[in-house]
Amino acid sequence: MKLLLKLLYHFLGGVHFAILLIASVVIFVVAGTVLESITESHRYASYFTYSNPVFIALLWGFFINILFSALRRWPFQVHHIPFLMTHLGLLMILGGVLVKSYFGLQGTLSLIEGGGTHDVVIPYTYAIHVEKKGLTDIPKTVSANFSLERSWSGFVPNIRTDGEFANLQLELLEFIPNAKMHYDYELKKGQEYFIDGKPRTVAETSLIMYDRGFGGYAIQSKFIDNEDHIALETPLKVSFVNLPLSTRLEDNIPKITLKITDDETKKSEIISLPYERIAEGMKWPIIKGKYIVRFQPVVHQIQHHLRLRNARSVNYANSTQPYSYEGDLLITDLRNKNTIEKTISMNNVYETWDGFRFYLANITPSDERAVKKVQIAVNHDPGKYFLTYPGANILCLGVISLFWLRQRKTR
Amino acid sequence: MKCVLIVFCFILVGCESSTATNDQSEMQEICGRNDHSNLERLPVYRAKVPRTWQRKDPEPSVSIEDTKTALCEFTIPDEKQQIKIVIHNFPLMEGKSIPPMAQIARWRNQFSVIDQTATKIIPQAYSGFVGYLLEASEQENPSAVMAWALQIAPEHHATLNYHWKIAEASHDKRMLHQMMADLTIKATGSKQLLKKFRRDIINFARSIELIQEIPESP
Repeated sequence: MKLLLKLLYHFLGGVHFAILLIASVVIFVVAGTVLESITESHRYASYFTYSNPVFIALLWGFFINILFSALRRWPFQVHHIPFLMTHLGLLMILGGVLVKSYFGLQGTLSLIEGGGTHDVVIPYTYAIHVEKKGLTDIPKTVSANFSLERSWSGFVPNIRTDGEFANLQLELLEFIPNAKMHYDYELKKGQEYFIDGKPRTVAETSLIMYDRGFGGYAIQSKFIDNEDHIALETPLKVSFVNLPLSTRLEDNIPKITLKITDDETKKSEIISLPYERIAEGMKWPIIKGKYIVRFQPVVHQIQHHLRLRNARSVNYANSTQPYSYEGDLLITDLRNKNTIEKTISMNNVYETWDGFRFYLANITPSDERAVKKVQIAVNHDPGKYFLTYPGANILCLGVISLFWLRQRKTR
Repeated sequence: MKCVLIVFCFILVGCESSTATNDQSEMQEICGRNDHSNLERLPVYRAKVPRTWQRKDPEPSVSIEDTKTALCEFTIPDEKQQIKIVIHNFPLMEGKSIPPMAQIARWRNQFSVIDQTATKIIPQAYSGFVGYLLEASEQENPSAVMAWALQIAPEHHATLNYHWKIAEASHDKRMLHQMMADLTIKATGSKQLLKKFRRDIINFARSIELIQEIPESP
């Protein structure tokens, strides 16, 4: 047994294990490149390679290999210092990567000029947003911790609720990875109808929301030559068409069907919901307007509140071709209420003291016809300042001292 | 080898350019209008104002409920001449507002003979406001104008209106009513002087914003 442990210890810290790990990573990198070019989907390639649990296991393998190879030098001597420094640096960098993969944050934040938020939308995650009538100030998002990939293998979990929504039971009946939602209504724009004995044409239609969505939705149609000011409302009808799953995963819009039971009123209802990618869009009433729900990504609240003053595209001289986008922000740290002014642009990222990076990703519209909306990519690497950056410095010092001491030894 | 390493380290050092800030302006608050019941004016707007500009506010004892009275005035002195900047807001009356283009048309009509070749109407959208900037001058006269006619963007108006309807405290209702108001900024002076201070006036006008953040849509 002791011999077996000794062999294992030497294997884990040995060159053969290192070569095995490097070869595996090479296969992953090649597969990732080929998959992404074939499917034109970064998410698809990432699912089978860099975001795959096997790849994370490989990173752990590297960590163990480097750690054990350093420990094999025990008892340490002075001439081991450069070697140990390089290995410590590598371990810290790998530790930083692993900390980021488990505890990091990558999402987007949508802002409109004059408005602000600290809600970061985590893309390609799934949650059911639920609001209860009368609790308007306490909207509650119930995390529905399931994924598209798991549904491929037939995994269908139940969604649990708690707190304010303890009486509400959500059961997932169906998950369709790709579906298209269709809206339909009567009295369409440009069509003629006989109303009150006269032919009348619909001039415009608009969506009407009753009681913030708790009362449902309707389409209001206004008529031309309308001396009587007639406007008719018809119900908004919704239907879904299931589509084949595209290998370009970014194009798929999932649909779920839920059975919702309210223990208080003993009522249950079945509803299908489309996926709202940026956590905006319509919230649908359930249980006779007692709740509204939306199928959306997980929203994470950060400790930095961003307010957008002004966003603009900067064009090349005498041209309408933009070379950069800029956004003037007020960034407030919610812990100490300190506010700073900052202008971020495509190549000018802002980084907070606690490692949140804000990167301006998009502006619409790019001109001054309407108030502008921006998308800000948010990235948080919790291990950056105490693992990755110090690790890189220690690695550099270790490499330099390896050369230095070797030269002195040769002389 | 040591030299190679030292040179290599220098190559790896990135270049960082830090621009020295020489900010000659300060953030100032501008109050909205009082209502008929009391003379209290709530601070509604703020803007970056160059320190050399002179500011004049209406006396606190005077009511500025009438929209003909400016919220505040700024003067840009320059030897014998000066530029006058006036700021007005127009709280909505029974939910109705004046379209920015109607304001622009009114300002254009104030010229006896407008120089058509020098007239510019530029769309504007910033800080949650949308509207137009008018740059115009008299044909046979040195007087010119730079004027912004702005209104709160429709997306924000719907949100503010919702919060105004559900607000219970009178302070909140008054603040939201002022926040929904249309806004005008008008700078008048000679052509040469406006040309000289054009950048400062634009920076001032584009820095104006609501002090309170517009809440998220329900």
